[in-house]
Amino acid sequence: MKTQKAKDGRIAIRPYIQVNGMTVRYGTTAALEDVSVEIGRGESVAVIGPNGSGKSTFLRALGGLVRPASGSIVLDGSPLASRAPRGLARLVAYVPQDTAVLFEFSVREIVAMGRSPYLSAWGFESRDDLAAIDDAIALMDLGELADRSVLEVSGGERQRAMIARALAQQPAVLLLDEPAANLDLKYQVRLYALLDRLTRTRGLTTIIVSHDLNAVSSCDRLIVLHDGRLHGVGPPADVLTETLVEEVYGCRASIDTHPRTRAPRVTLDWEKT
Amino acid sequence: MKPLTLRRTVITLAALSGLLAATAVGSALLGPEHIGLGRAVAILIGRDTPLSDSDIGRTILLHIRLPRIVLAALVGATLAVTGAVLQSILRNPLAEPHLIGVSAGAALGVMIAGLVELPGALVGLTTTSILAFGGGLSALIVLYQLSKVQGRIRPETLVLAGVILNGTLTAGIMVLTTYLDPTRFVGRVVWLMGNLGSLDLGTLSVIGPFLLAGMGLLCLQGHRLTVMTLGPDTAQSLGIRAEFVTRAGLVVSALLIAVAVSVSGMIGFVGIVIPHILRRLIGSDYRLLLPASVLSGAIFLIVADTVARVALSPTEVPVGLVTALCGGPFFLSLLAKRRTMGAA
Repeated sequence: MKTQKAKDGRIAIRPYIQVNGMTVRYGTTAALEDVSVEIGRGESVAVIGPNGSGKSTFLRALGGLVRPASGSIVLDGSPLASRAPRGLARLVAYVPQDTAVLFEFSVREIVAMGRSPYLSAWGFESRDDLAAIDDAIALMDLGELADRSVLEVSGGERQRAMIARALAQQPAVLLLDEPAANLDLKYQVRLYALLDRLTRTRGLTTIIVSHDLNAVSSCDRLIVLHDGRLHGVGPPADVLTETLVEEVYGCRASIDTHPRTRAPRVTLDWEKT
Repeated sequence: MKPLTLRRTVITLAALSGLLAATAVGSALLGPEHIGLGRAVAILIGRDTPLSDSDIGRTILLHIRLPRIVLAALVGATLAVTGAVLQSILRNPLAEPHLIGVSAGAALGVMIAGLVELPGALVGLTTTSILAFGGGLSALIVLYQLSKVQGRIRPETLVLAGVILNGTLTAGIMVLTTYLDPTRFVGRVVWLMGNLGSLDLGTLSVIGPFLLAGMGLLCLQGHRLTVMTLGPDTAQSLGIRAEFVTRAGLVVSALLIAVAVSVSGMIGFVGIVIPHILRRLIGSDYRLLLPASVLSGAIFLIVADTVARVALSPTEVPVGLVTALCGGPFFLSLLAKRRTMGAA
């Protein structure tokens, strides 16, 4: 249904997130230039593109972590820039690629930090906060690890803790930068299944940056960035073509349809030199 | 570590407060002039019968030992809590108060004061303290300007700038020592190694409220500083004004450090050992870690200073040597234990 809704790259209802002519600069170099895109509520979107194409910057801008030099981002009817950090943090959660932790926190303590936008300065977690923490721990299957030190668990387990932390924020929009990078196959599949379930049951909007074209081919739409510019937007079946892979990534791939999921399947042509 | 609850916070802080009180009392009674607990209480509540020899005990307790204990508590608390704060905002477990160059700036001020020997005092502060504070403040301003990259304070740049500033200012101190005559030189160097005995009540009454207010301000940032350990981006995405917390944390910490150094010299190890030991014992949650650092830093420095004045009595050891000699090995043994437990 949703894929149909987004077939022509546009959504019938008012878009939940509107990015209008956004340009982001780091110093004098532009990381993103004149990017405009609309994302609907409860949509799952993946941002793809080669290294340095501006994917992470796009995500950081949506999270309010970097301010556009020009253009605007409108979230649920009001500009992102006008929202207070705490208010924004109750709507948008962000999981960076780097999950390094400095000190000995338990997995549960890390997840509990997701309640930050709901706490008072010196406050302690309320019953609601504790329930949200338990819920996030259960969703990411971290029950047995909850009391372990986050410095002692594996990289993938730490990444799951970070995603659980974002879920504990109970956001409307979840921004994930390479969320599956450290996950084993089982948890990669589980993560995308869980995100799909949350989109359907809770109306969560997910925006994922990834290099794994097969993993994101189940998303509603793909946003393709190349050299900081928008290269294309649309459902994976329309966007993922052999020409696109060659144009954007500069390598060859064969694309066919997955026999069971009917999603596009990308196979790289591994050239031997 | 189990997640922090209000109950655990209150119990831990109450226990540490009790320990601090006991340490302070113990330290007040110890020394070349023996003062019994009964007499100390009598002196304190003003029920002491003034005999000819009891006046000495009274003077020692009220004018020498108590101010010194209060100063040790204030300085120890300041060093420990600012160490914990800097470790979070600089995202560096090795950060400590003397790392960022502010202490060296204050120490340079002390050396300059020793050279020019300005007489007199201002609002209860000696010229030495004022020049020391000015030196620390100047170092902070330089550090702040150096660490700004594209309008933001960058932790990595700040640590680097701090280390370099520290080295340069220390070299400056060394240059100045060549102009100091040998007798005064030894005095100044010993002072720099940490000294809690040279303070008058006037200075204490000025710096005391200042340090307490600053520490109170820092302790209120517990939750924010917990989240800041995950990095500024994650903290910002959790609703915390990361840039503001970094700047405010840096400025408040640096001001407190400058004041502490200006009245006590450079007492090392408190700022790094106390927060790390506490993390092992009570966890890394800054809501408890910060007030616990205040109390534990105070306890640690009172004990160290008592050792410094009693161990080789009537000679005094610089308290900075005591903190380094007990703090260093203790910290190393913790690290070694941790390695055998299999954690990195």
